[in-house]
Amino acid sequence: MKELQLPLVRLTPEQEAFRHEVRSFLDEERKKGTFATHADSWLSGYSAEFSKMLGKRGWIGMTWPKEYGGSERSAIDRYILTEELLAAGAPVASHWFADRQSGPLLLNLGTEEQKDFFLPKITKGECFFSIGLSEPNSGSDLASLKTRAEKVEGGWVVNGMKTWTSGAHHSHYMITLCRTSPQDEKRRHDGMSQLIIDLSAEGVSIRPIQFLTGEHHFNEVFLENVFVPDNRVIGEVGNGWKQGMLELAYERSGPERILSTFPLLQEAQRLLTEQQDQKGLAEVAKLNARLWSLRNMSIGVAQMLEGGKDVALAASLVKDLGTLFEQSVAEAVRLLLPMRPSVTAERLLDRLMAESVLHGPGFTIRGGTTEILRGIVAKGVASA
Amino acid sequence: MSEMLEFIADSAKKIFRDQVTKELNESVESGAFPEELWQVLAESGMLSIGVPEALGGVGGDVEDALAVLHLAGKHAVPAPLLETLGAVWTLAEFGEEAEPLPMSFVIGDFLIEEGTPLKLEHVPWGRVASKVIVAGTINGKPGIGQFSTDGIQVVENQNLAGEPLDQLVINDPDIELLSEGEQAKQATARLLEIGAAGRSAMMAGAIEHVLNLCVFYAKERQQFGRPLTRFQAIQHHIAAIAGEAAAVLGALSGSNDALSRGTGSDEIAMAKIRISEAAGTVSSRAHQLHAAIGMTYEHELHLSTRRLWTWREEYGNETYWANVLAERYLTKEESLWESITKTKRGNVHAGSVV
Repeated sequence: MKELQLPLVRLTPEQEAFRHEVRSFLDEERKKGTFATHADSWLSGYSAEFSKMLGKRGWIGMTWPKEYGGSERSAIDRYILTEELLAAGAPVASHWFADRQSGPLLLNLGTEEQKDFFLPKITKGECFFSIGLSEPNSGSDLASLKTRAEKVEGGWVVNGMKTWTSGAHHSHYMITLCRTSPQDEKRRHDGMSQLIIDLSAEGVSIRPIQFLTGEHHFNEVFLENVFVPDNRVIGEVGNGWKQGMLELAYERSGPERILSTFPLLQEAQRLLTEQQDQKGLAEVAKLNARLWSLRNMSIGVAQMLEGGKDVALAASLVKDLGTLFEQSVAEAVRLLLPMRPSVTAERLLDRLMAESVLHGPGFTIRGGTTEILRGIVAKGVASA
Repeated sequence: MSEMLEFIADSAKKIFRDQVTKELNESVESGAFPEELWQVLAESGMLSIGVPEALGGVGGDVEDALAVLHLAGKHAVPAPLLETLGAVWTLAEFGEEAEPLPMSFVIGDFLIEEGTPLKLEHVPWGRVASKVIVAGTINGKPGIGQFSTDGIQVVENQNLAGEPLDQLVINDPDIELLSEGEQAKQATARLLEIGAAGRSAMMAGAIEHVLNLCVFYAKERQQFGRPLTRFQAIQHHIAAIAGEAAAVLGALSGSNDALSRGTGSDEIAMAKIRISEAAGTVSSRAHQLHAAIGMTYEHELHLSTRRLWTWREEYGNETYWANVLAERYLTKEESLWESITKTKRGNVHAGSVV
C-alpha cells in the first residue's frame, strides 16, 4: 500500500548545524531560568516573552516568505526547531496555533491585505491565534455546528458559542468555523465559512474551563452579535469545511503528536543510567524504538506536505500511533522508578510524571479522537 | 530508488508472483525443495546480490538485497533466501566466490573437538544447505568458519511457519576457519545484524500482505446484511493494522538506510524491536478480523502470520535487542535526545538536559 510508505529524510550538515544553534539557545535560556522543562508544553506552556524571543530569531513562521516577515526556511528546518523546542519542554503554547496552522492557512488562502496585516505580527511573536471549532453539541460530529454568521452590510454578524478553545484568553484572534447558510442534511459540509474574529471585539466573552488539574488553558467563547467585517473572511464563503480539513494534515502529523511526554522519558533514562539499571533501560529502549519509527514517519509527512502532496491518511496515522505512544510513556515509566507524582513536586521526575498522567487522556482526544482517526484511516485504506 | 534497485525489485516481484503459489508453500512444508524457483532465483542473480562481480556476484548492495527480502516476506517465499545471502556475503568478505547453492548460518558458542560429534542446533534450512557458516565463539575464542554438509546427519525440526530448523550432527567435525579474533568478532556481529535486518524486511513485507488480506476479506465478507468494512469495530482493526504497517515501514527505511551507510547498529536493533512488536499486534488483529476461516490451513492468512510469529524470535527478539541498546546507553555519555537525533550538544554535559 503506497500511501503508507513515507519518504526517508536525511538531514544535511547545514540542518544539523541549525539543530545545534537551536539547542544551544535552549540550553542557555534554561540555565538563565527563562523557562523550566514541562511535559505537554505546547498546550500549557504560555509565555508571550518566550514567543517574542523566538520571533526575534526568525523562528516563528520561519518557512514563510520574507515579505511577510518569514525567513523562507524549509519545512525540515521548521521540523528541527519544533522538535527541539518540544524535547526541551519549552513554553511554546502562545504562538503555537498561529505558527502551525493559522499562518499557513492565511498564506494559502488569505487576501493580500490579510497577509500584510497578520503575518508579520505573527512572526514577531506579537499576535496569537486560537482555533474555534468544537461547540457544546458538536464534538466529533463537527459538521453539526450551530454558530452562525448572518450577512449584514459590510460584513457578518456572528452568534453562537465555541468550546474547548485552547488559549483563547491569551490569543488576539480566533479563526472561527461557522455556518454562513442554513444546514442542509443532504450536504452537511456545505455552507460553512472561516471567519477571523477579533477576540477583543464587542460581543465576545471568554470564560475559563478549568482543566482537571485546576489549570486554565481551555475556554468557552461566547459570540453575541459580533460584527466581523467582510475583509476578515478567509478564502471563499461557504468553503470553510474544505479549507479547515486542509489544516488538519498540519495539525495531526507534527512532532507535538509524539513528543508531549518526551521530557519524562528522557529524565527516566537519565536516572536509570545513573543507577546502572540495565533492565529499566531495556524498557526505555523499547519505547525509544517506537518513538524513532514515529519520528521517521512524522518527518516524512513534513517533507510531503512541503511538496504539496495529500497526506491526510498518513497524518491521521501519525496522530493515532503517536498520541498512544505519548500515553504509554507514562504508563511504562511509572513502573521503572520509585516516584511520587505531583504537579507541585520539586523533583523533576515526579513533576513530569504528574503532568504526563494528568494531561494524558487529552492526547488521544484533542485534534480528532482516536476513534474518529481510525474511521478516516480505515476508509482511506479500504478505498486505496 | 536507484535504477538498479528498481530493476531488481521489479524482477523479484515478477518471479515471486509467478512462482510462489499456495501450492508451492504446501509442498515445501511437506518436505519438498522448491527446485524450479531456486533455479530462477539463481539465474536472475537474486542469490548473489551484494557480492562483487569479481567474486561471481551480480553487484548491487545490501539495500538492494533488503528490497528483495521485503518482497520475499510479502509473498511468503518458501526458500532459504536470507540464509543463503548471509552466508554468501560472509564468504565474500573472506574472498570466497559466490555459488548459487542453498546455504545457511548459525551464530552461537561452539566446542569443536576432533573425534567428538558436533551437534549444530536450530540450523535454518539445514537439511538442504550445501554449506553452513558457524560464527560466534569457537572453542572459547571469537571465530568464524564453515562446514561442508557432505555426510552430515540431519535431525529434522521446524519453526512455527513449518520452515526447516534442523539439528545437524557432524560426526568428525572438520571446520574450515575463515577468521579468528577481532575480525571474526566483527564479522559475527555483522552477520547477526544482517539476520535481524533481513528478518525485519521480511516481516515488513508479511505485515503489508496481512493488511491487504484483511482489507480484501472485510470488503467481501457480509454479515448482518452489510460488508464488514461498515462496522466500526472492524474499521478499528484495519486502522490499527495500517498504523502498524506504516510504523514498520518508517522503522525499516530508517534501518535500511543506516545499514547501507554503515552507521546503523542502533537502527537495526530498534527496527527489529519495533517490527517484532508489530508482528504480534498485526497477527492477532488479523486473525480476530478473519475469525474462524483464518484458523484453517485452507486460508492463506497463516502463511504470513505463522512466519511473523516465528521470525520475531529469530536473530534477536525485542528483549534481546532492547538489552543490547540498554548496554549501549550505559556506556555512552549522551542523553536520549542526543541519541535519537544523533547530534551531541557542545560542551554541555548530557545529564543536564532537562
